[in-house]
Amino acid sequence: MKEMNDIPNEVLTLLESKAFNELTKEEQSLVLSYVSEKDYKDYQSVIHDFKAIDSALEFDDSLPDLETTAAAKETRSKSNPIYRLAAGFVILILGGLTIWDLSNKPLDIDENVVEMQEKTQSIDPRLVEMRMEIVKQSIETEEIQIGTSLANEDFPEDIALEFDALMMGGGTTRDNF
Amino acid sequence: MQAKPKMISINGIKSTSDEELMRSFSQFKDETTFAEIYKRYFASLSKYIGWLSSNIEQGKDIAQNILLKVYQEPSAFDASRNFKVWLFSIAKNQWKNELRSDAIKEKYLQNLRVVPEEEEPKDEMENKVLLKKALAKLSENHREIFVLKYSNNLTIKEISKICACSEGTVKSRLFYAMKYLKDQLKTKEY
Repeated sequence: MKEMNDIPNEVLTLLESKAFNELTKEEQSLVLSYVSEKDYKDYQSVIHDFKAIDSALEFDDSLPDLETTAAAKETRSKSNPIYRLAAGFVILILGGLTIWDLSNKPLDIDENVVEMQEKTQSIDPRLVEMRMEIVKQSIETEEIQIGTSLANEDFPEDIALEFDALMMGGGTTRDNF
Repeated sequence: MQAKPKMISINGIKSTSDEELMRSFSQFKDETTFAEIYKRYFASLSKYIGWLSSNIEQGKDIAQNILLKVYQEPSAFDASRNFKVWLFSIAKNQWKNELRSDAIKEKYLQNLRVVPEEEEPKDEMENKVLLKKALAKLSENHREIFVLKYSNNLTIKEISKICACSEGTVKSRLFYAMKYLKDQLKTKEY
């Protein structure tokens, strides 16, 4: 087959306008010296499909108000730095207000924490002593080395309080603070 | 000797050449004359840039900017030249300038939006989508020539001037593009 860069314009015209079986014998002979019949049909299919997509694209080709469009573009390009400065200033103010607001706002305290505080303050000391005895006995059986003596007077009081809190289902006081 | 420009009547406007319209508009700044130029070229310029950029909305924006410049400076066109070639050459340069922007590069690979017809068979729609994708994957040199020929209906001679290459090169690139698209569609069918 001959080189495509030498292909006559006539072949390109035929490709767009005539199916292979519509070509005259002379036209077929010309076409076949450059492309096969199969390729001719395939190329036609590609061109046809592309034109279908291309022609489906929609445009409003009525003349817009070009004077207004030109003026709007010029205004935007001139005032752009001012708009940017203004936007930056607003962001700065809003950022400052947000930071000030956050620093002055009191921390929300979990209601459970308040409730737990109230409960621990109202525990009967005799009940605490009983709990301490139970906890001490359970730790002694496990022989855990905690660096703290298990003698009564050295036994950490808050563990008993934590045990009580666990029983009440509210987690440990240590967790809440 | 160049013909003296004359105001073109509304009746004769459709049969007047592009060059004559531009000559008249440059002299008389008649909106009706320019409206005809706009009507002739807005869609095809939009499609040219749209297919190059794979973004039809971008194509419309750039096309409008180009025509706005022509409206503002009609004397920039030398009426002894081919208006169509001049206009598309400007469009090509404008697109190259746009590509320098990183933001535009990001959008470069987006597909063209095609509104599917409700009754269209599913396999035809798939074929169109495949073709669009295959076209986007084609190199810009080949895609450009394919689009100028089958979307903008330019002659081989006109395309060779816009693309600054020989007519032989235009033809070989055109067939390369068709072969590539054909092969891409065949591959996806299986």
